[in-house]
Amino acid sequence: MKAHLARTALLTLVSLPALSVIATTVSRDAPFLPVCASAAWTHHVALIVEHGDGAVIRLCIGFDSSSISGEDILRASGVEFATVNYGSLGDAVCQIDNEPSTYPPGCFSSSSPYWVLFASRGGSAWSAADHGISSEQFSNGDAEGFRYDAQSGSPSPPVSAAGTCPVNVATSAPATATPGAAAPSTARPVRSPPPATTPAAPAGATATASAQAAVLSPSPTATPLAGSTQSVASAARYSGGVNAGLIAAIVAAAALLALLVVQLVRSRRST
Amino acid sequence: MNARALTVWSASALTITLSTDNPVYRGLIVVAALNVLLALRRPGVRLRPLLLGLCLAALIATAVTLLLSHSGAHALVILPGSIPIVGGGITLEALVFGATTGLGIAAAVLAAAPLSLALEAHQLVDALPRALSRTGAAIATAVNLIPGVTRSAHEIRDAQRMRGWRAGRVRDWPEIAVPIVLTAVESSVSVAEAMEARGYGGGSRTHFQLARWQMADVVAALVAAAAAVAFVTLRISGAIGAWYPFPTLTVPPLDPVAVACCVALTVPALLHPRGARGEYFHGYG
Repeated sequence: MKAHLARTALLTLVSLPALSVIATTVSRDAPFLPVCASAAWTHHVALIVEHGDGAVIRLCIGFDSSSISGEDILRASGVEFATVNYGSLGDAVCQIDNEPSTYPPGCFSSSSPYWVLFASRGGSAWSAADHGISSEQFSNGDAEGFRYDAQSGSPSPPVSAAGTCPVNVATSAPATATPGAAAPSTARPVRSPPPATTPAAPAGATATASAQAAVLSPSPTATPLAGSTQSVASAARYSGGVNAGLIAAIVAAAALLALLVVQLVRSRRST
Repeated sequence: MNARALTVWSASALTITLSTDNPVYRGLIVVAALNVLLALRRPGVRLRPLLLGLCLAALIATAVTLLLSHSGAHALVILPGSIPIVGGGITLEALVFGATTGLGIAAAVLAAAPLSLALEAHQLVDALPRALSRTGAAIATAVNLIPGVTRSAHEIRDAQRMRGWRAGRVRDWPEIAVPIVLTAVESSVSVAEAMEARGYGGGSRTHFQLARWQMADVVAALVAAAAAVAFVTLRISGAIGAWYPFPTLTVPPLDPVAVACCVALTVPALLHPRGARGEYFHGYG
């Protein structure tokens, strides 16, 4: 038993510096060398998610089939998202990366901001998609963009997808193995800060991520439904913290109910 | 309670109800409005029919949402997709959203209920601004005619049945509709003549009793209005955001100030406790 513990401790001590070296390499190289650049996927698409506060998520998603649906791109990215089915139009995106935190059953109200889907074909400019993400198909070199936009005027496109997938990757060049390929598959995308002082530059805004387009398994915790999907991150997200508002509501409800009971008793006695 | 003060309270309660999706706030408004209703209702007014109707409306809203909204992460039952419209997941989130909708309906109705259950029709007409008094009187009179028209419709239908009339084809219905319309017109003319005989439209209106504001009425109206303003301000500023149970059920965020705004709607019940004065026209005279 003691020998086992000693072996475990030694392995941990040895592996810690190695892991930190890998993490540093990935972090430093990420803006210029996305993880999927060295992954052995035949095709790649860029995924851009621009939040309402301007924060941008950039990912390069690899896949082997001839095309991939917008929904599969999101699912492969590991970014939290939820959709509602709109029949023949496909699935509408209601929530990405927990924005908004909640939404009405129809995905958005008549005045609330919403996620606008854009597509860029072969490096061209963004154009608003005509269908939901389940109906939009993307090929090698395309880009899928989302922007959380207010329902006023024509929707503004997200930041450019240029540089998200390196040129050699986007043109289906066979990937070569690099140290970046050793990135753990559980790496989470990193949100870049909102462009408060400087515009979102592609290099500075790129985040690291693992692209797992070939593994399109449904969430293990979310119940797969015909009209609704949800990714892992937001499943069973209960904010159960006791706060002043909750205490105030409980006290207020108790007091109001007590007053109601007193009035009912008085009313019965008077009759 | 003064009719105008109660109208301010009603508008405030309705404003708060309509500006929130949060079931906790809606629930608090329901209980506060019930307190006010119990304290201010006219003698002999029964609340059971109203409450039964509200329960029914809330249940229908819940059932409709539950069956039609298939969003949500936690499926209670999955109906076969072959069933049109309702086929799909029946989710916990949809159940909560339906119940929240039902609470909203109940809160809105209870916010307006004191206007009809605590006040007489003439009190409401008196409370209207001078510019709207004639229009209000005409509308109130027209509304009051509805029960009479319904009663006469039943009488006419029974009379026609005794003559052998049976409800069948559409072209048989004029035998009922024409007498009903004629009776309604006749009743309207009678009411108009009666109003004219009492001086309606003949000059500025005089009052036997003037509605006066007492301190309790002023306090109740001011507190309700302040609560509504504070609640809407919190809503606009984003301090209390929209809440929906989708995609996954979460505990609604609660703000102590917003809770206080909902509780403040109970003030009329505290200032005008039932039986304390034994008089329901204490605001007049």
